[in-house]
Amino acid sequence: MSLLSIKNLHVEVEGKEILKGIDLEINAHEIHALLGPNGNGKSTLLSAIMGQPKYKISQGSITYKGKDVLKMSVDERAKAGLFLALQYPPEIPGVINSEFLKAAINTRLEKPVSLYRFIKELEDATKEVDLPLDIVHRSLNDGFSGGEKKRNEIIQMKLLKPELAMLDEIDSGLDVDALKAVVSSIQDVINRDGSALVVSHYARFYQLLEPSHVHIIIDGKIVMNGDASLIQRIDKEGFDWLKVENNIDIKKDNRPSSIGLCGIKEKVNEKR
Amino acid sequence: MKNAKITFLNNAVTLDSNKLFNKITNTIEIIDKQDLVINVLYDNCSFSNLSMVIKNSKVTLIEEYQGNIKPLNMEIEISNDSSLFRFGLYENLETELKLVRIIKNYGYYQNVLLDVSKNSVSHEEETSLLSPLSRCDIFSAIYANNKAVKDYKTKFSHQVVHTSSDCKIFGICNDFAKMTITTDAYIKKGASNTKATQEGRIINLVDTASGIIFPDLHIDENDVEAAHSCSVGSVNLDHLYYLQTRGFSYEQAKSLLIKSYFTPIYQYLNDKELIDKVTKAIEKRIG
Repeated sequence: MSLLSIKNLHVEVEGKEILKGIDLEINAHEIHALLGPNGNGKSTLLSAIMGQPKYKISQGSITYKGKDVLKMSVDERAKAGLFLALQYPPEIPGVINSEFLKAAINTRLEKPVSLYRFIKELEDATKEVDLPLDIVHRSLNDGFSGGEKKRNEIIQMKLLKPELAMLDEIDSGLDVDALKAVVSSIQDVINRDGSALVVSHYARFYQLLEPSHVHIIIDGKIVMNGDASLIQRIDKEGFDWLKVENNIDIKKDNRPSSIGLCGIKEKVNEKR
Repeated sequence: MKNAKITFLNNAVTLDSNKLFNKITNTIEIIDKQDLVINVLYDNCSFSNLSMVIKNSKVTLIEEYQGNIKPLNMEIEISNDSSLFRFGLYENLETELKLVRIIKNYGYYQNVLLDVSKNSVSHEEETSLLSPLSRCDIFSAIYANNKAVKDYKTKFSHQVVHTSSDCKIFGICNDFAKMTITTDAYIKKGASNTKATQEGRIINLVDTASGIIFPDLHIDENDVEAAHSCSVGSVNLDHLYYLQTRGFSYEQAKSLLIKSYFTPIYQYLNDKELIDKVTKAIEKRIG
């Protein structure tokens, strides 16, 4: 039995279909890489697996260890062993990092974690991702740099010990040493008979990670499966060869490249 | 640290351990006292006017109000060689609390306030910054539920050069409660090189709760630094989702986010006993 099984998954966001029939099987000890141009559904797939309420599942199924994931709440999925390292972890002022981590661990335990064990694991994790220990006494991600936020996601992954680690562009903002720490953390998951599903555009990261399976998502569908050699080709040639050789249309990401417009600028643009 | 206790019970002072209260002028006089901690309990207090004078002193004032408190006007004067850290706990009130506080500040005044009372509170505080380098920092965490009405008016008057004020007020509004936070900073003509910042945040937990913030800056001088921000809304859904992805149930995540509005208060507190008291008050009322 697969650890995670996705069949004919269709997902909508605000009435627009983003995923149009995803099939994916992930077994223990496997590392799966998801590639594809921006805006084609990679992050949506990870969020849908985790249960982001903005995404509506219109068709299909997701099972994890034989259980229907779609019937589980977000926290039940987390406690069952799913973990998603977010592309943009939110800043939450007033929620102290260390207290949050300890409480998050305790959501999975019948008896609260011992203070000694928690501190030891926290110290080890911060050391491994090369963050100063005092960061755990600050508010969750509040005022953290991009790299610090990503490292903090990895600290959480190390402490929460998931069986299926999903990482959404965790590499952005990380240097090579931090990438090695991420790879080592994923390897810990694999060594615990778990698996990983990773989204990245960074070939160097994949070289370190050595994924066992590679999938290309175009326009909400997995259009090609393969091994790590696919990554090398995409790194060299991009995605255009898919159209030439396989007649696959590539949807361009039409989202604005800026973060957003201020209200006044939007009004000015409307009048133009 | 030297400790003093004053208790106002009904219309009398029943405890004044360090003889600080002058009964003729209704004034707490603190002169030449370094590192003095004063615990003041207003127990069914029916005084309508009180004063405090602080000269050449560094004082921590812990004020607790309980029972039925009559409307109380208080005037505080802090000399330029003095500092006052005031911690106010509004918890076990039986009726509405009405406070008007006028602070003539020539030194440093810091006011940290936790209001978790079930009853309505009207709190009006005006701080005048009267000497170069005088400073005032305010942090308030307020919880309102049932049909409580909480009205907080905080005013700063920068009257001379090189003064600064910082005001942070965070509120949680539940059930049918109403919360109004008004902050005004006046920078008078001649008060150049002054700094005034204001931050207000309210979460309305349900649609029937009503929280509103009026942050205003009134600037009558050039070469000053002034900023204000405010946000009023419901619990951030992205934050809720993020916490849930880490294993917290919806209710646990919501409770964590509510408490996060009160967490900053700890950065102002050093005393373990006070920290425990604050933790208990928050847990008792918010869970």
